[in-house]
Amino acid sequence: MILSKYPYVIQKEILDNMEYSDLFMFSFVSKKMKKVIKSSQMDRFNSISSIVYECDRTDQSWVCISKKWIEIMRIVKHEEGGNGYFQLNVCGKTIDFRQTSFHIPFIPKLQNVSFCVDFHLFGDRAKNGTTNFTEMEKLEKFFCSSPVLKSIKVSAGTSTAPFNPESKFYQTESVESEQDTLIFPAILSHFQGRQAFIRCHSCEIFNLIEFINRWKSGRALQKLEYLQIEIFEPELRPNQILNAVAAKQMNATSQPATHIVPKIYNWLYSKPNTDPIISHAYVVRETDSRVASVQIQDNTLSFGVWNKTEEEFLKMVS
Amino acid sequence: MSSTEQGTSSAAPAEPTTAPESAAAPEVPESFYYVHGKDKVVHKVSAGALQHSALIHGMISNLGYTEEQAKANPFPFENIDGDILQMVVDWCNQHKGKPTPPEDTNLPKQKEKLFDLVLAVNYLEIKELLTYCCKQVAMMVKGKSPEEIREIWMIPTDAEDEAAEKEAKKRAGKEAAGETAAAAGDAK
Repeated sequence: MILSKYPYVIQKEILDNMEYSDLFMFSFVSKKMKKVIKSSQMDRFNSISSIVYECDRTDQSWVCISKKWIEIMRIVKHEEGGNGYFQLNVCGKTIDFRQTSFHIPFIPKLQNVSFCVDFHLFGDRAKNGTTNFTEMEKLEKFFCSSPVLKSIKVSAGTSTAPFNPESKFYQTESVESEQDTLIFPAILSHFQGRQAFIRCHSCEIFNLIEFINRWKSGRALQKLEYLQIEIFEPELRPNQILNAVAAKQMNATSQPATHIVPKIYNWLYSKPNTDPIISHAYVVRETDSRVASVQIQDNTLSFGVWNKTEEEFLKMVS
Repeated sequence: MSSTEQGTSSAAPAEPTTAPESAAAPEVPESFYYVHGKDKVVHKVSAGALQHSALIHGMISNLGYTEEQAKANPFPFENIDGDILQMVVDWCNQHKGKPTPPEDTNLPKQKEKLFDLVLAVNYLEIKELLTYCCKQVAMMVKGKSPEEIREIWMIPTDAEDEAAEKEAKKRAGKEAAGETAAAAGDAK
């Protein structure tokens, strides 16, 4: 049977009836066939909004089409000396595949595709005797070999070790982190992305002050648009922080502008926009006079950067 | 020319009916047409069964043949092997007037037969059967590696594709040069 002897309409009908996992394998057969797949399956591929890497306690992630939960592949451990492996070049990396599953130790860099990953970092008590997450090394490797992610949502107990300050985790465009027992969110010191939403147990006041001062200096956090950190303790005293960072106050009689931006990625059950910041307090970045509104209420510090210099900002609110 | 008659409804038992006999509408006699493939074996098929084929249905819809005329003018499908046409006719008869099931397990398992059946069904424009056949072709490579898929569907490698493309270009160039020379010769 020579597939290429079929007219295009038949080739398309055959491809329409192939599962995603088989289409994926088929795309490696030849460049010409890859083109046929791309052109004939455009509608099908366009209907895929995202790919989900679903991890379970077996440590072997399922890779599925979002919403429909159609499995494409499973990421499994490479068995030394195992049979049935064949190698394929995926985006310049050689990966071992098996007939029904294969080992893919990273997220490939694909044009026009961005990845959002939801991590639940808890230990396996049955396996490790603790619910603390103990596999930071593995997670670091994952970030190291993957492209910069668009958004990360992390919920975790306590991790035994923080991320390496140089970790690509901190380059993620948007991070939503919930770590109820975490004492100090290192993300405040190392974040290089645009939006961060942090909920943690506690944070020293001086860490918050240091964060704002680092932004003001222009030495770090240059891309930051929005940061929100909610802590349980200690109680945040707005004046203490605002004074420490030499925050400026708008004229009390003027109506403060509302800072609100669309979220980089709208996770399920979350709001599409950041919480509005309506505050008279603001700080100015030394390097370019850019303004950021600062709001402290309900034990939450909200920090919203404007795309305006102080002069433009004051003109806007006057 | 040999002839087999298939798909006739004359031998079939009458359809059960709940309506009183006196109120039943008079039965319209079913019309039949004749088709043959490469082997010239003629198959008699009812118009109802042939409705599955958009091509044949289009051909017969305005003919108004009498039984004799239909018998004397079988539709020739010289591009379809006899055994393949037989399969198509059988399928059309089996599914005459019935909703088509989501799957059909009676399709040939042999690769070459299935390949020919797909081409025939596409030519005859039998949409449901084409879908079944293509599903079956797709199933051939389920869970297979790229090399296995290449073998099953006889797909050339990139190098072979490139070589074929070069060859085609060379041939086209030669043909174009030949035509130019011929045209110049004519002009003289």
